[in-house]
Amino acid sequence: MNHRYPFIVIEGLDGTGKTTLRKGLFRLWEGLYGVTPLCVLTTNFLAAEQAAAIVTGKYQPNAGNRDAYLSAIAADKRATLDRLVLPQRPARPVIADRWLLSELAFFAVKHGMRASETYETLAAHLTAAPDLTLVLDLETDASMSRAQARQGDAVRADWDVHDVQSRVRETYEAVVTKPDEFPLLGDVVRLDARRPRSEVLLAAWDVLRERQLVPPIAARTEGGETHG
Amino acid sequence: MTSLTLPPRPPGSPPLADAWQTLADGLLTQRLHLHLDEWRAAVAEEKALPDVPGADVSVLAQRPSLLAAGDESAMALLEDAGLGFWWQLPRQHGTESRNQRGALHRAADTAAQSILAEQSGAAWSNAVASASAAAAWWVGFFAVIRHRGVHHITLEPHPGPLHEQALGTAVSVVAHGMATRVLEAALRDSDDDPALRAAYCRAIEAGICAEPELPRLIDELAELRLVDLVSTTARWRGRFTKYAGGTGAGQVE
Repeated sequence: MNHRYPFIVIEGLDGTGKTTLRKGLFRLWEGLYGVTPLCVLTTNFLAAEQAAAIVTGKYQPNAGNRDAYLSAIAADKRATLDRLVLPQRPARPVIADRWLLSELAFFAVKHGMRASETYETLAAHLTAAPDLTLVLDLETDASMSRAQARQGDAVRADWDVHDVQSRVRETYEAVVTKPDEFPLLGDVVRLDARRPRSEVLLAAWDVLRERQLVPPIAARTEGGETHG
Repeated sequence: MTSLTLPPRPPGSPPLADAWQTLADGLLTQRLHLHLDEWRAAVAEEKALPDVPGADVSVLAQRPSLLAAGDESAMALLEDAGLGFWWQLPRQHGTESRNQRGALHRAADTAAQSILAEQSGAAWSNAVASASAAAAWWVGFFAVIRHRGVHHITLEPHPGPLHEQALGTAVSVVAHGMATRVLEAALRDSDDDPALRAAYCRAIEAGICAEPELPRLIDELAELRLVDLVSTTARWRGRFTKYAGGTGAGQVE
């Protein structure tokens, strides 16, 4: 029997509360279920030879480095799956702060690529899908306002602007409404991020409970039941 | 629908954090008994504290009110959470209540209310209120004997003075941490109650919001026993640093 914990992805515009939800889910798993999750990012620089291409492609995107960047993040995600996600899932949940959806939006906004085109390239390298992608949904004005209110956050003039963020959100919308075309996103669930943070966490927890992605409380020390 | 099989916990491998929490709880109990006479003498003198200007020792020493009077299920829940000592020792050793409410009691009330959000009557609600009320007493206990303690890093005696407001913040942090434990114990019994799950999420959020301020609070508290009380109670990245490095025993108590 292939025992494993879920691979959970959190997506959303800057300022929608991804970090807070990640911390909340971490504490929920550790405090209530007694399992410490592993948290990863969308890129983790595990394919060292690709690191320069990732930095350049992300911060200085242009037509000349587009394909190298896409190739680099595909390699990095593959390494993240092979070295972190897949080995850890028998022991703990893995929570990713952004994963595929953000990349689809980046290439749509910065390079005009269709989400399906970016997806096909990435999918060729990826061996596993998350069990769940939680998309924190919030109007662009509100998310930008929240993001700008945070201390210590670097604001990128070519990214953290209304026009760009609106297009990112449009890409999110276009993708999540066609889940069958993007199976490597796993189950996609939108969460209303206008609510207080504790309510967003509660909603995410309810999604996990409904999908039996958390252990039954009564079986905390027993486990091992098949859910599906 | 996703199909996966959640792994069983390997036999004989409870979370290490549980063991560290047990050690931290024991340290609190040990310190209370080690310093009880010293605390009683300070309370009997009713002198102003040399290092916490404005703090009223007689108010700090008051035992927590019997919030959960007659609620045996709330007391049982505190026991399930491993917090019987947390409630009983202040009830046993605290002084008679004069119904004076100090800043620390108000901080405890506010902390409980922020999590309970007007939920009342349930065992877990009473248990959270009781654990929060006890937080004010424990912080007060260590505040009274603080001037006899040592700095948490240097272990040098005579930590500097402290503003009572920092003690209020400490109560809030400790109350949230203990409330989280109570709610986890209640949820392990049953997670069917949506109000209970919502309260737990509020407790988690409170912990996340407090975490950025903890290093500054710990710097300000400075003294080892108060620092240990706060740092092992709050849910934050430094919670069990004391134990994670193989230390945590043999220090000045």
